[in-house]
Amino acid sequence: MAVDELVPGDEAPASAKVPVTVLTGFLGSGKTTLLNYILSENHGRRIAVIENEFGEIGIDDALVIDADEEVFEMNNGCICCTVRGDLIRILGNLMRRRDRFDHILIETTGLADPAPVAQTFFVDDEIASQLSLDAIVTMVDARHILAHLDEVKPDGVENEAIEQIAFADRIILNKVSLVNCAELKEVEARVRSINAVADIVRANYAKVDLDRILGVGAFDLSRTLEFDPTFLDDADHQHDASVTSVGIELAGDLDPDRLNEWISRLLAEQGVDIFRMKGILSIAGSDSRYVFQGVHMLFDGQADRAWGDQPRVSRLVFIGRHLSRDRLRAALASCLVRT
Amino acid sequence: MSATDTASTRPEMPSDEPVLAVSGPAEPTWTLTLADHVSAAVWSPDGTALAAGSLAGEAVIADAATGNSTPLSPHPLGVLSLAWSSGSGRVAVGGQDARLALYERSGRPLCDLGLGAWVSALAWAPDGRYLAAAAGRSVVVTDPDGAVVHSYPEHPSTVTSLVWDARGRRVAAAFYGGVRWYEPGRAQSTAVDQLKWKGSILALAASPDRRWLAAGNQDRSVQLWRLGKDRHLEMPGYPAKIDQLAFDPTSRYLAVGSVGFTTVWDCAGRGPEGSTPRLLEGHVRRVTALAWQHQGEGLVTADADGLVAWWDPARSGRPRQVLDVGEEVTTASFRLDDEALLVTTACGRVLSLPTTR
Repeated sequence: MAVDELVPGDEAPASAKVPVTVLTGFLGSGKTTLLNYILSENHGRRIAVIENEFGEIGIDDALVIDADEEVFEMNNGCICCTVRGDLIRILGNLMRRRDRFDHILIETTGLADPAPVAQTFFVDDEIASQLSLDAIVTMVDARHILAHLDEVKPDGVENEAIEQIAFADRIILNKVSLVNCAELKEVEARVRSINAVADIVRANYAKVDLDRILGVGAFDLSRTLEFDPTFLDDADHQHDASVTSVGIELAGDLDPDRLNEWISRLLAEQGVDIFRMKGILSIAGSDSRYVFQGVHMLFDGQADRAWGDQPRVSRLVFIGRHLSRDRLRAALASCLVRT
Repeated sequence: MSATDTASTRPEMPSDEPVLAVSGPAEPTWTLTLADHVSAAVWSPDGTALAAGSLAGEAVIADAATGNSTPLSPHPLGVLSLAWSSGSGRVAVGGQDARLALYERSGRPLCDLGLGAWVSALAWAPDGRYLAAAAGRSVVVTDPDGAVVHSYPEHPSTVTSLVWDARGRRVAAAFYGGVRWYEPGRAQSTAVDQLKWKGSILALAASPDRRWLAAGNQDRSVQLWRLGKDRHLEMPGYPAKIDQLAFDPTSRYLAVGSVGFTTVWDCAGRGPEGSTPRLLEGHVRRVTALAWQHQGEGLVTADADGLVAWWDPARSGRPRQVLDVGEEVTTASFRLDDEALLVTTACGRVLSLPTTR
């Protein structure tokens, strides 16, 4: 459905787009400390901060704008196409300024769903043409995260801690000095079981190498997607966590028609449950790799560089709820060109 | 594109060369330069002055003949809204900094209110008795001196647009979920009427004859309500979100700016249901501003490339003049006598263009 929702005209070249980092994480995980750290570091970037959790940022010359979470449903109430109205308004004014910023940070509340934030960058044409979603960075308190992940929510209520980890491109495991080695391993394994693709960055006092979280280009299709989809082959799922990552690697060429049909059907049936997906595909008849990204039902893809000497192997990753690795793999395999 | 429940047929394409042919560069009477993207600009009702504000936060009052300006109190993080009262002659300025400042015609400050949230829209009642301000999710109504008369309770989202009924008794507030009408003359602190629509409304336009209320939307549609008749039309299918729309002074035509074209819907009689709009083509990118003349049927549209086009949509789908101001236009408005067009740009310029040919 959203596959053809492409933006009209007005597209700025990717390099001219201002990158936007979305910072999620529970209250107390250290987001504000990280923001202050980012702003006080002398990194040569002019940064604007959109803040959702009332003003504790103490940097005088930083541009800090308060936002008020407003989730709007688009496309007649399809919950996969929710956007953040407050961000459309604020980012709209920020990007209209000639006095541009090098980077924009959006801090979400601890209870915020990252999906509408990410989807705003796909759905709003003006924003898509001027700004690029750089990465979703999730701050995790190493000491308290397991309790948050295990919290049983009433039916129909999301566990935000799980969602925030599932959506992340970078996960900062903060306050690692407050847990012992075994606990740290357990936390990391648990985080990995939900999101096997994100980089995990360990930190204390939110001190991280900023190059690992800013300028990541996690949604940039033209950057090589570096992940190893075999990561889960050896991981047993100790937890019956319903949110998992599934990686698939498949040699051979895919029939574009059957592939399209499958992806469309998959997103129609399971789009609500698929938080993120990305991949590199080997399409029959094309010399180039096809790269794609998706957030729920919103999908963006393009032809990438040529395969050259590399083996033509498709790699896909899904992060979401109720994913069956075997079924996804079988479905993809059924799209292979029969020889 | 057509109104709901009808076959969608496009009007015959009036032009075989869709890109606007520029008649010449704009030759403004004067140019005033602000530090950044001009976010709001209005004429004084008597046409002798204007006010403008930028996203850098400056606000000025300027002389209409010379462009000489007087600075007003700045709004850090940007001016979002301006309104000049035809009744009291007062100017209101609202900013991202949550302040609402009121001035006399001379620029002398009258009051400075903190409304607690960004002031995204301002509208004076036609008789100048009330000023409506959108402050975050609330609507605040003051008297001409800035004393708060009503503070209407929170809406489900930011209030994005305010328009008064032409008689000046009721004001419409748009938000995600619909439109609420308030009547500040009454003690009632809740809406007197509501138009529900599930979607994010970006801009409202009310017809001067009080028959129609139109809303431009995030979901690339226009919603049109026939007021008092419980009729609602939808014009879906635009290529981008809609924040530029306006009725002409006769209330017959509704102009809607989009990407690459403007549609003009004929609202005469029963309205545009089943009809197809006049298509004004030629802008390449987004139509970023449009304005009807106060007399006659002339329309100006302006775009992200800096082209300003004059049209007579009732007669022709071709522009009668196209000027190039060189950079993205952000607002356009005719002086009450239609002798000058105020155009502002994304690079901070405020231009007064003569309109007599």
